[in-house]
Amino acid sequence: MDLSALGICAATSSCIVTQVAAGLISGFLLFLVAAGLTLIFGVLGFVNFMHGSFYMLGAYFAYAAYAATGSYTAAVIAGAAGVGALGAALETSVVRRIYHADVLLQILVCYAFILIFDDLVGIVWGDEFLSMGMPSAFKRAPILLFGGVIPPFYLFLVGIALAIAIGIALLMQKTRYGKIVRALADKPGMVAALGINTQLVYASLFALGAMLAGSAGALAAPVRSMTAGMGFAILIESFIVTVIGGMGSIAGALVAALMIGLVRSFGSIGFPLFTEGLIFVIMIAVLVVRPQGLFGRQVREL
Amino acid sequence: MRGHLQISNLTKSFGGLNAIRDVTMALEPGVRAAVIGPNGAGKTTLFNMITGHLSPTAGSIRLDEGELIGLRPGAIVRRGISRAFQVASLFGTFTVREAMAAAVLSHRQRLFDLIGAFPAPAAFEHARHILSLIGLSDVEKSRCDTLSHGDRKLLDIALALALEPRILLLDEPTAGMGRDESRLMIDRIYRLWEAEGMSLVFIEHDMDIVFGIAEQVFVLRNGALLASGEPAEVRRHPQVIEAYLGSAT
Amino acid sequence: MKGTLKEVAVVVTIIAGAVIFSGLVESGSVRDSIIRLCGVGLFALSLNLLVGYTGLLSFGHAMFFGLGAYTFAILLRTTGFGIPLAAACSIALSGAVAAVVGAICVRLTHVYFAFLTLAIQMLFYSLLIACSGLTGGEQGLIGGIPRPKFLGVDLMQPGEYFVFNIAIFVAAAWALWRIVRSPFGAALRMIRDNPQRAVFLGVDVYRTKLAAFVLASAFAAIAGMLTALYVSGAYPNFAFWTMSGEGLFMIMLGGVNGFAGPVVGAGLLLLLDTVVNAYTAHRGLFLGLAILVTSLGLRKGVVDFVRDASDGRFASERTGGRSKERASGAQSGLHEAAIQQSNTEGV
Ligand SMILES: Nc1ncnc2c1ncn2[C@@H]1O[C@H](COP(=O)(O)OP(=O)(O)OP(=O)(O)O)[C@@H](O)[C@H]1O
Ligand SMILES: [Mg+2]
Repeated sequence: MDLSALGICAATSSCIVTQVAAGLISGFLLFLVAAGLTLIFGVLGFVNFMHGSFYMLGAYFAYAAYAATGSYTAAVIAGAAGVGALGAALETSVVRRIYHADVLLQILVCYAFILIFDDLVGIVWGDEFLSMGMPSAFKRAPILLFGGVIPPFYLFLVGIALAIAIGIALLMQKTRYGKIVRALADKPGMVAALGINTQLVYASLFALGAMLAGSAGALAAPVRSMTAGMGFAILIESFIVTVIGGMGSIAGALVAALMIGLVRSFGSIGFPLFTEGLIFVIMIAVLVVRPQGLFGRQVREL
Repeated sequence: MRGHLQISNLTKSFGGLNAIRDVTMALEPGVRAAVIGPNGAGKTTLFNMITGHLSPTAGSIRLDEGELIGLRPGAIVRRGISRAFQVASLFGTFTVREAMAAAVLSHRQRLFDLIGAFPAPAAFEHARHILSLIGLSDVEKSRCDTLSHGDRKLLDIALALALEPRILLLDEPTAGMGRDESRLMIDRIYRLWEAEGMSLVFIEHDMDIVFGIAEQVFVLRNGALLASGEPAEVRRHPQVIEAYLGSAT
Repeated sequence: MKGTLKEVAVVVTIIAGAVIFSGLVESGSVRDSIIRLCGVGLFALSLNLLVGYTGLLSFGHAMFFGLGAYTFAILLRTTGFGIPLAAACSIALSGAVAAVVGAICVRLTHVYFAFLTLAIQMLFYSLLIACSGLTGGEQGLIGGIPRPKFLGVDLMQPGEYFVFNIAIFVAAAWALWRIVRSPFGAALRMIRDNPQRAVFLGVDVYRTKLAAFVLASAFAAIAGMLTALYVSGAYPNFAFWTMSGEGLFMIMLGGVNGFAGPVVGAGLLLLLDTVVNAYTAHRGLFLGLAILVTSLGLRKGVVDFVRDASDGRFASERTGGRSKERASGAQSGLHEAAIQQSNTEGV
């Protein structure tokens, strides 16, 4: 534990800027993954334990597309669209059959897919750590702000993630699709009675959630190294985010994800060994004091 | 065996909806009381507050001068109030007599016994006594999830009885039953009351039943207490006639 | 009382059988498989106390398997403790940690419980990796665990070591058997079937669940200790999430009906493992496919499936619909139904 280092950092604007930037990008990436998880849970009532695999596959798809085309744009599109399509396929073939099954079965099926995807990634891309490298467009001098350094890629990431977040918010609040989805979360029977193809909505929503995770993996590819099994850590983190923010709440996911990003970034200076623990302490405190999460709706529990 | 229940100025709101508003009522020990009122009047909500499942927005509920509000459901059970549910609430994988024995052991605070055998003969004996009292002896070896609707309702009541309550709350014991079945049910409940002597509070829609068995009637409408008193009084109450019995009489 | 005598007779017979068996069978590999099954099977049994009997879907049970294994191994290596004392300390520590973890987790139901146990397990896993001075980090505790003689038992003798494993396994399984058949076991099933009703019958749901959590963890720790002795070390993957997942799969494989199901499931999984490892390096792929086939295809445990299929031949009408419902519903499905009911009733 080195609180003096934290103190020194807090006293210099350059350190604060650098750490805030680092915290924000991991927070925004985490938000994209968690938003998918919370969306799927909020509407489908299904906790997608294989969500981390979507993140991993997004990264690997992006890696493959980048290697083939050299274009980062193509890589991100490949990651997002590829995982979105995979999500749709999984929903229609398997997941839709277990929405109403008991939790043991749901967990086992997800567990099976995690094992399969991890192994497949190992088969296709090998067991070594891979790294995609920084696209040339972003290979330029970092931006200096109050003495802190911000790589241009960070700005791009935050911008894109923010755009996606706003896009999702608009989709859910302003469009007919969003209305249907929100109605589905509340009264599925009513929506079905209106003659809307609920199966299609479910499938598209699952695909959308998967796509969010895939795009996060793809976007992060230049700054994270990849390995089979990398999805699991992000699964746990995004779960923590949804617990803190409130299951089903996108706004809650945003706040909680940024909070975790910042805690991690500053924690790594002040108490590197305990950062992980601190995040758990926050989560447990939320669970005990406000079980529905910061932004969640009141749930009745015995 | 005392058991004086005093409810004062009880109010419960769900968001904007006042499910119970400013209800004051008293129950003497050993009384047979009915709570009546149209659907959504707040009857079940009232029970939920007495048993500690919901906490009221305002007001007090006292049992022999002891405040119940704020106690957890388990603590209220220990004070001698138990209930049966509008939709019978059982343990699907238990047989009837196992479920009863478990309830008996719970009442005797013996469920933390890790070594003894379940069900122990002593618990069984008491369980069987209640089952015979309520008329379920012939299905005692059936699994709960295979029972008929009427037997489910009976077992739900029997489970509540295993706790030897001073006050027994029955939420629509005859719900979903035909006329004859209802009669039979009420007959059994009456005999239980005779045998055990606890106070009995039941929610009921059938007026014949209510006026046949209750000594005291409480009429709820839109969450408020419209009238209360002896059946004959309530029957003559103009507002009750207008609001609730108008079509029935 | 009569039942107890019978049970004691069974336990003694099994142990005596093990003694004779170890005298007759020279093959080390058969003995090794059985010893391995003792550890893994006990792990699955202990998990089933939560999953099958209480309806608590733990996805983090391996944490206590690992905790027991590591504590035991570290104590034997670094202190002069004998096996009984080291075992007692490991169980006590695991139980204490489980009390703290459980106090937080058992407040939650369903998926929340599953996820929180999973998350805490991963925290524990990263601690194992981080405290490399004590635990050997990524590598685990290598270099062997001493097996000092105690009470005249010499675990360096293969025969005695084999009987020791059987004896511990049978004793632990017997204890679990007694627990699920005790009034406490009835309370667990009440909570599984209908927690709300249990509350209104005066059952202290929270304390009961917590006690079940601590007990299950203590038995998992014993399983971890047996396994640590067997592999003569302790490794981080003991406490990894895949181990918890495998435990759930064993329960699923073995079927939800019957006390011994998880042990059968553990045996099946070990068998599957042996086959898969013999033919391919891609264990995950094949294990995953096997899980998908059993869980989606059969929708119940292999043992249930076999039993229902043979039942069905004689009385397809009677068992057909109901046993299916039993298989998929008897576990957590039922308490889901109970919760749904409580929701619709608006209680
Ligand atoms: N947990 C709750 N949350 C929100 N509203 C509730 C809740 N419980 C009950 N209500 C509302 O309170 C009102 C009273 O409900 P309650 O169940 O007490 O009626 P009741 O008199 O028992 O009706 P019924 O004869 O149909 O059983 C209803 O409008 C109901 O929708
Ligand atoms: Mg009601």
